[in-house]
Amino acid sequence: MHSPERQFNALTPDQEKKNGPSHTPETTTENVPIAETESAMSYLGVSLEKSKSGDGQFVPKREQYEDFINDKDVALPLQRDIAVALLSGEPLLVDGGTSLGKTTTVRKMAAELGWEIHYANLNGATDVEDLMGRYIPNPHKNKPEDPEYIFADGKVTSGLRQEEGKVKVVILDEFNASAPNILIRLHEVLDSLERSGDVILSEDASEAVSVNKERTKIIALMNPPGKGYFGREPLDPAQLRRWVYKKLPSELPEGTFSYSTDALFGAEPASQNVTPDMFLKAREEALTPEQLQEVPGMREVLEKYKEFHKAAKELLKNRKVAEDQPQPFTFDDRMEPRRVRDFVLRFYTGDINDTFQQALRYYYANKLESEADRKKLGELIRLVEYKPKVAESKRKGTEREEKKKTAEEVKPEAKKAEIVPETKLEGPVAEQIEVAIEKLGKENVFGPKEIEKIFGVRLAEVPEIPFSVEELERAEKLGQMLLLRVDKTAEGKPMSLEAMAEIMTKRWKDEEKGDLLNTADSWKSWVGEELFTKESPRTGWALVLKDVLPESLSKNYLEQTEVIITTLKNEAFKDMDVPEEYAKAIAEFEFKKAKLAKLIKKDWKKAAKELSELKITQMTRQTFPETIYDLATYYDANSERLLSDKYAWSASLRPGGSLVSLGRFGASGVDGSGCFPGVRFGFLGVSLSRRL
Amino acid sequence: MSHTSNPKSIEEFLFVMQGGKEVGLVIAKNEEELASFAKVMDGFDFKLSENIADLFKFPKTYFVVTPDMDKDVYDFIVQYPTGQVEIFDKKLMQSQTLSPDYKKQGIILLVDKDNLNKIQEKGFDLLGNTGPAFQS
Repeated sequence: MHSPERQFNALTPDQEKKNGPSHTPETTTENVPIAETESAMSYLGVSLEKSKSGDGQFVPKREQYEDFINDKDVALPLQRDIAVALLSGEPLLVDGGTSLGKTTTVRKMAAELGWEIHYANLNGATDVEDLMGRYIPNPHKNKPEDPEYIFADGKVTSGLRQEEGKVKVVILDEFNASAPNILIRLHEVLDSLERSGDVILSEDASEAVSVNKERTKIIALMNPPGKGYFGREPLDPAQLRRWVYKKLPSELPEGTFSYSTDALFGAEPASQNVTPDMFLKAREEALTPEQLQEVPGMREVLEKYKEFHKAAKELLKNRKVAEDQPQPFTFDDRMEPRRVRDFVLRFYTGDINDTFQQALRYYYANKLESEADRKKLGELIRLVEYKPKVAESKRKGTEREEKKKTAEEVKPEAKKAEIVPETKLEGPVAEQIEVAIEKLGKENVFGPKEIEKIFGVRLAEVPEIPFSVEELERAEKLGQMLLLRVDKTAEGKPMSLEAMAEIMTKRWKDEEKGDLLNTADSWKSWVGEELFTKESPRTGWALVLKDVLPESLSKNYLEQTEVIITTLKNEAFKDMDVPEEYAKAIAEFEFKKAKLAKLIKKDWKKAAKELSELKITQMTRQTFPETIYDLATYYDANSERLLSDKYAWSASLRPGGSLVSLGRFGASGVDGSGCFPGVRFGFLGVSLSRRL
Repeated sequence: MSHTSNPKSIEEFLFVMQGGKEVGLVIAKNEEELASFAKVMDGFDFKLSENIADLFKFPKTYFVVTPDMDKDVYDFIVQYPTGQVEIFDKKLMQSQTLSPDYKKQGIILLVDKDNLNKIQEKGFDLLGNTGPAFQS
């Protein structure tokens, strides 16, 4: 028998030692409402990079916000939504009562990010030049040739000018108390910013100031018109279309007031507990519109979004929502779809329904003040979803009906591979097993009889085979066997490595069939006592490849997963819809793929853990005990050792964090190796194993 | 914004309002009372500021508000509780930013009732944007 330790070293040349524990300075930001790392701040999952300069007179001081209360109903969602706007560079208009702390919240975030604040209160300001700049007598004139007048920036212009390493936020406070001529000028600025073009300073002989929404962010704040706020007139809804409009309550909600007060007096923590659904997660790199087309269900969701938009506009037009809101607004036909698209590109999480619905809550429901209105719109938002077509194979126990599609409904891809109805396995399990034997051959089917013979376990009830006749036929072409796994021994103990080794040692010793594992002790120390003595295979039927997929050799773990997905689509589920569970697992993988590729290089342990936890990994790779169980079963029945010269990479992690691979099954037993997920070897592949 | 509930005297008010996160407001009935309040404040080491930039020069300052007050005053009051105050000098077209030291600072606006009404009507909501207030 080969020592697992020796084999481990051969396959993973000191990778674990070299990498050692992760030294990344980043702290875990998951589920922490406001999280901070050395280089970024995260507001309910929306991460913003800190400024490299991080200092200067316009950057608010952090110590001013030490008693800031992060309540879950106003302060935290507001910070999240502001963060989304800051991330995208969209101008944000926040409408809410004066006691909600709008300006303080923006300044507090700027203090944490080291960003500059350029503040202009528009109430009573009548002079555009105060904001945009004007000529003033030259205060530095010393010589006759010095100009008499120089141009000096206004409050807004200084916020627009780009400076190395600086991010600037321009606050336009009391926006709706502004004079009309100022609003017109500011809207010209917004338009330039949207194009990341130039702002032409008509105040300065048409100087062109280059602006960039990555560097300059605009946030307008206003109190609701009327409602006791003197001099605030409703803005023209057409002007509002330039802004992402967020409506806050006119007064602090009772629950928020109560919590904030308790927190101020130390009776509650400064940060309130939040629920996971409040978090957003931005992608490291936004998708491209082309990539969006590859997202499963995109087309269906898009159609439903268009219906939603029309319905939302109708609700608004008929005053079924926002009836009491003094500030009129629209759901703009051009701006909202563009914003929703950009949101999806930036925040797509692998679940198109979830991402799309979050976008609609952000750009549509956020404009509504009352809970009742939000609920009304929320019901419409929930309809914007993609329901994958579930493949109704045998496992569902119903005969699939031929799908009737109109010519328009049949997409070109679908035409080339006509969907064929699946044939369920019918009758008692014994008959199902007979069909399986017919399709796969007796030597490749291990049902209750074989399991009793090999492991001594008699099942009181045998589960039905969850695969269709066609799936078994495809499995035969792939080179798979069908076996029934059990998780308990005859004595009711876990069918662990320890238990399997004990059973096989007794049986094979008499027959001189060699070993399953070398010495139990060395394996126990290698995989850890917990895994060795307690972890067992997942009960149920499984289709397992007897070899590794040839295309998966010389590929790292991530690349192998891509091979698995290709095999599923082109072979295992050929001519049928990919079942919903698999579609979701594939979408999750596609979403995380780029990040995982980077993580493998940066922090292999974290990458290994995330890779092992992927749905697609759990659904298509054997766990450590399953590989041993499968190898033992086939060898015991057929006296042929599978994986005699190769290794299959499993879904299990070693205590040290590496991913376990098993193989080179010889007379002295199975070898085990812990592998760093980025390695590629000519003898290391993946054995497609699926239970659904 | 919160307001104190009728402190017994201007002296008591001056004592309790220090250390607050908002600018205080003292409302006099008329010019005569305004002058007497100013005298008391002087006695409590509050320094009269002629312009907004001077409000941070001393730990305790007050500013007399008139209907033709510069808009900077309003901008100052509104920003004071937000942790940072940006004051813009229109003549020099320059900004100055200040960070209030709430624990050590006390800033009061002194105004008589008539003037306060005029200012409120102009759209500058002093009552809504100041914190503790006193009137006899």
